[in-house]
Amino acid sequence: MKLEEVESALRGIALPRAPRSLRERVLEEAAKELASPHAPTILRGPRPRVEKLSLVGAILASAAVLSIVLFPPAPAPKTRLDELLSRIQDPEAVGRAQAVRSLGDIAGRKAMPLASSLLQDRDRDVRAAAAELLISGGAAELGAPALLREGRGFTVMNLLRSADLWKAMAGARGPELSGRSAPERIREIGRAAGLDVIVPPPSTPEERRWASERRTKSGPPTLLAALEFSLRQDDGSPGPYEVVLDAGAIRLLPLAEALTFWRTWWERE
Amino acid sequence: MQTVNADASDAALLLAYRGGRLDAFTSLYDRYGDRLFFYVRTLLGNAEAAEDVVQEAFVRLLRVEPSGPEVPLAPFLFTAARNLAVDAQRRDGVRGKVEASAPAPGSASESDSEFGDLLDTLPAEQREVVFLKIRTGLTFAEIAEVTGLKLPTVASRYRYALEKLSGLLAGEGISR
Repeated sequence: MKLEEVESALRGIALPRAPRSLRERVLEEAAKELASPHAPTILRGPRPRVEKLSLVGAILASAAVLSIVLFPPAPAPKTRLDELLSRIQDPEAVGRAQAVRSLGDIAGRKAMPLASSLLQDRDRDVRAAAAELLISGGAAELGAPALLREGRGFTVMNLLRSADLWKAMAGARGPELSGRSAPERIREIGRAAGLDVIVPPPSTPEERRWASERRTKSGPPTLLAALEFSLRQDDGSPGPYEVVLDAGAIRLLPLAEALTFWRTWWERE
Repeated sequence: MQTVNADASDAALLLAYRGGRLDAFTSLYDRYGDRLFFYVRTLLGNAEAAEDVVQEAFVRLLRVEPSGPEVPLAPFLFTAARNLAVDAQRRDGVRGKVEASAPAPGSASESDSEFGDLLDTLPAEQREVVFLKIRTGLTFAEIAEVTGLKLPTVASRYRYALEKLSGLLAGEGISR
């Protein structure tokens, strides 16, 4: 056998994969490093650049400084991003969680380092919101394991498993839902999406409460938002079921069953 | 949001990461993670210790001064990983011998692949050179840099190893 053939044979043999936990650890470090004070992201703004001034430049700069002292400019208007970043410091967990949910819309991928650091927040809802943001922002390697650790709120996992259906539902207008019970709302959403709906009969007090409450408010504007809205209890707290979007159906699963389903799916991915 | 091109060069991915794109670093990890892990595990003969070493090697990459000279990534990562493996071996007495001389049959790489089985038939010093040449695309000069060996030594170890494997593969009737 020629040496080139040996090289070719060796190149053709697959290497075993490194453990998934290693990938998660490394990416977590990478996210932390981006979030550290010396990393250049829009969340902190670019580093100032110090340059030497010529004599003329120095005189002009002095004049500019003097004019600012004499005629101070009006303060710059606070941007939505500034506002959200200050709300991230909110002592109330509800405020922090809401700020995290809105952050992805404003800052996009640039919010990922901050979202990653919020996985360590003391409040479960904030951690879950950060995990959701990481998943929807393309950092599922960090977000999905974190969300599974939290043990609930898996709706966004459907973005990874059924991306096309997720996007279609996010872009389609939601139906009128006022006055309907939760199962009726889900069925209405299924009808509008052209999907079957599988809702298990309620068996626990929490499930019965969810199934019996009728909302007077109309639903949010898209099918996806309406679905997320309908899964919650009337007071906005998480409901007793999680949703799985299959190719032709909206399937609700009790929490424990859903946790097993998503853990198994993610491990296979 | 725009996605990172996974085929982009190492330097482009590192630059994108430094611009705030975590997914660019994910692509870099996916490019090197498995190979680094296999390499270090082969050196240390211990998967758990190898995970720690590979993580630390990537952390060193994260902390390379952005304004410094452009460093080719593969030699940087494999050199960092090897140095860290040597440190781990000295500090913790991890099974295996990084300063390669004696092979550790059946245990050196905790082999779970055909590739690992083949490497295990080689002495440790040849095993390392073959892996780096075949699976990382490093040149002989870069392998010499990573391992601290002289260039002719790297080339001769590689040649001896391939001759041995040639006989082995031909004897088993393996052809690809």
